[in-house]
Amino acid sequence: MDSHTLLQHFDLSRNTSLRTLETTAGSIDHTSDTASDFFVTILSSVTSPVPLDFVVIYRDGDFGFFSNPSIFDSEPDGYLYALDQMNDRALLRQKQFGVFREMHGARNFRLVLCADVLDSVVRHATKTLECLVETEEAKGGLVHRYKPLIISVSAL
Amino acid sequence: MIIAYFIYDKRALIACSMTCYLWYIVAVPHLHYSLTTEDGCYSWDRMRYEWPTPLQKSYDLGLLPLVKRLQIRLGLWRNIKFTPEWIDRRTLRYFTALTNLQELGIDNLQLSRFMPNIQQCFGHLSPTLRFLALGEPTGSCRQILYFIGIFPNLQDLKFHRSLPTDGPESTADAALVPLSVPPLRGRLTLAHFAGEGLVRDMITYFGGLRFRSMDLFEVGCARLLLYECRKTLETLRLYPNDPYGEEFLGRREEDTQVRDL
Repeated sequence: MDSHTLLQHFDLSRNTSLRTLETTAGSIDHTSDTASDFFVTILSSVTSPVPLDFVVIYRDGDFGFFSNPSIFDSEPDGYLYALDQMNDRALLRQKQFGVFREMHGARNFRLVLCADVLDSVVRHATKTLECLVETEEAKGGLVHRYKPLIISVSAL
Repeated sequence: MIIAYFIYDKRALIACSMTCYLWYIVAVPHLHYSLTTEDGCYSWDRMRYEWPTPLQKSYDLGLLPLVKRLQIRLGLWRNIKFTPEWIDRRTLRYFTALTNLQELGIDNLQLSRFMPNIQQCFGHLSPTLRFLALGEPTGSCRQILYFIGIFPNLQDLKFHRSLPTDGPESTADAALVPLSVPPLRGRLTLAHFAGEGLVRDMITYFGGLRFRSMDLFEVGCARLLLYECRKTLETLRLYPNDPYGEEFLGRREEDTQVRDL
């Protein structure tokens, strides 16, 4: 879908109250320009001066954790994780910051990184996101006016 | 009270309820907050959820007034419809005992079949219902609109895999006017939604749309929705490339499972 067609569907220029644009980490695909184009186009249509939060939701799988249903039934902490997956995901998350920088060029927003994971993983997830932000900050990769906010929601 | 922090921890809630009578009184509404029933064909270990077993059990124990969330799950892919035959005299007795229900989710609701007695089946929910989720409902736009209008305090709406219902309406349908104009100021969730006619009817009969929050996944009428809610929309959730986006939209139902006994 080109940006003109996209704007026909997701034109936010008339919106006067939008405060939060939310998506999942899985939607920010750094390997193609699709995600970048999608959100850049949408953000560029926002004309309202209201401060905007861009919330990215990370789930268990985004940290390389996968619940095993058969284990999960009997043991709430039953989790499988794959180290190679975790490394891949870490790389992916770092590259996502490139997409955020492109988006920021279209419209100023505060980046909110939200770990929506099960309780047993929440500490690992928030720490990973904190490390990610610190690394980006050290590299000078954070172009946002406000420091990214890291939050978590969890269920047992 | 601190017990409310354990709403997702069934084991802790059960332990609390067995501590003393006072703790039981506090814990029991959280324990019976949510009820899920299914068509019973998933697997042997799901049989205890088979319709109407959970309703019947809770009814026998006098617990249905404590239920705030009811989810009627049918295999969306198996084409099993929720028809009036599911609510016989006995089941209707259970259903009408749900006097404090705030959230209702029904898969494959065949509204056209319910129309003659729809008030009898669902009317008792009208003072309390705040959230309505319909998975693949069948019926005309007017019938769906009439159904929504039964609940004058409805805030949140969810349509999942809505079939196009934009075909020609019968004369009887044309005469259907919603009984009320629900506020609908909360969250609208649409996934694989192709019912632009329904949205247009909602705008006409409810005097516009005023949702504060929207979740859109594979929706054909996003432009219309965003325009209608341009003065009220505060949160927009989009999952353009996420293969699990649809699963994410169903989080409220997953919560239901977590909170079910």
